[in-house]
Amino acid sequence: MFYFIIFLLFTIPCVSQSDSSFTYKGMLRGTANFALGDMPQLNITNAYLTGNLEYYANKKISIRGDNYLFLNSLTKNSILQDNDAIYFGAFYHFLPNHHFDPLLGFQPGISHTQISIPFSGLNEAAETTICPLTSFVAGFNYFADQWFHFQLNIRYTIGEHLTTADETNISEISFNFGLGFNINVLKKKK
Amino acid sequence: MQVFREIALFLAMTFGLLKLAYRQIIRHCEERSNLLTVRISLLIAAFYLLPFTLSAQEKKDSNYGGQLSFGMRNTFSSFTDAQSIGMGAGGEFRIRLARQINTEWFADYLATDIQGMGYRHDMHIGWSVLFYFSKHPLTTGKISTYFLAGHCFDYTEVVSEWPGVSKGTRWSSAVQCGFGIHYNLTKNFDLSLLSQYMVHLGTDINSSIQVDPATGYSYMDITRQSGFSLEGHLLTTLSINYQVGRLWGKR
Repeated sequence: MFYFIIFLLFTIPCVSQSDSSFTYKGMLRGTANFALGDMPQLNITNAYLTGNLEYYANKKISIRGDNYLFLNSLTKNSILQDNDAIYFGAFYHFLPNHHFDPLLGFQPGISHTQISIPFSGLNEAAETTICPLTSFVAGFNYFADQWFHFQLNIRYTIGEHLTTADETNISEISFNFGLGFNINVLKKKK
Repeated sequence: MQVFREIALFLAMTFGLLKLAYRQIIRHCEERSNLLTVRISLLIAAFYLLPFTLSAQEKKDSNYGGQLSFGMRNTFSSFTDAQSIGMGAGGEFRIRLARQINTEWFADYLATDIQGMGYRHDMHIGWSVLFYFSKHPLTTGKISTYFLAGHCFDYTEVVSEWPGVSKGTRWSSAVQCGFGIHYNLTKNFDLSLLSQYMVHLGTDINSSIQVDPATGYSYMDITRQSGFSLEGHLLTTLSINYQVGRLWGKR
């Protein structure tokens, strides 16, 4: 956390000093990295392999799809067996003409979940189901190079797992960061 | 003033037609099949379109027609038998017909917990006509309010966690109307909030809490109501939409 704050302190002054633009209409960017999620209702922490692909429709608006592949719960004796999710939505970019690109997004999605219900001291595998989700994302991109950037996202997801065995709140706050790449798919920089 | 006259005319036609249709539905549907219900609801929806179609013929509106938008949405369902709020996710697209007339085509998947004893799944696929009150709707940085009415087909599944109770399912048709707002962050991108009441035209699936006399445990029982019912729920939708281009008209 300390290093992250130091990183932010160094990047924010760059915003006012820079006037070149790395975000433009037709830019396609993507990233793949690991994410950590915390489900406060279940008191468990989960690990995901996550990736996203984003197209800048203009300097301020982008359309983005995300996927979360559930790896495992980091909490011992977690009841969550599976929680793969996909999201699709749009993002608003507050500083379109700068390297530092803070963003806010709204992405509805669905997840494929499976939860074990403790029964007579044993874990019984419960039904899998598809859960509708809503999520809000805050974060930023930092475009340090023509082809690469650094990305950080904090996502709050709201959802509920409903089966004949149980109903479980699967709302989660997740965090991911990593290196991404970006290319111009329109070939004409605007 | 012309806008208000159009709204008054539209509301008068709508309520008159709904009243007429409601009487016809009550008279016929108790003894006939659901197919008739579907046909009648389609007829109601077609009548809804009538005043909009007349407006769409105005020449001055030709520059606005054909705008195509795609969006994603979250819908929250309330005032159902479940007595709790359900949440759904889905998508939509819009085709604008005229300056003050837009159409919205949507699909939703909703899940609702029923008091911790069962759940309900709803799938909606349908369309609505949007009538903007402002003469210049969808302007960047301004809120556009609109009235909406439309029709949809839906599939409902109600499941009890109690082992002895079999699930209830139904296909039905529905009509919906409500009010909403768009807020355009840019020329092509808007955030929308919509609140509409959806009335299902068909048989109802009732869920009720019972007590098992043998064990004393409470459970959810499911009964399918025979005949016709006007069961409904309030849907609140938050969506984002991006205009990708035009199907016709000036670019």
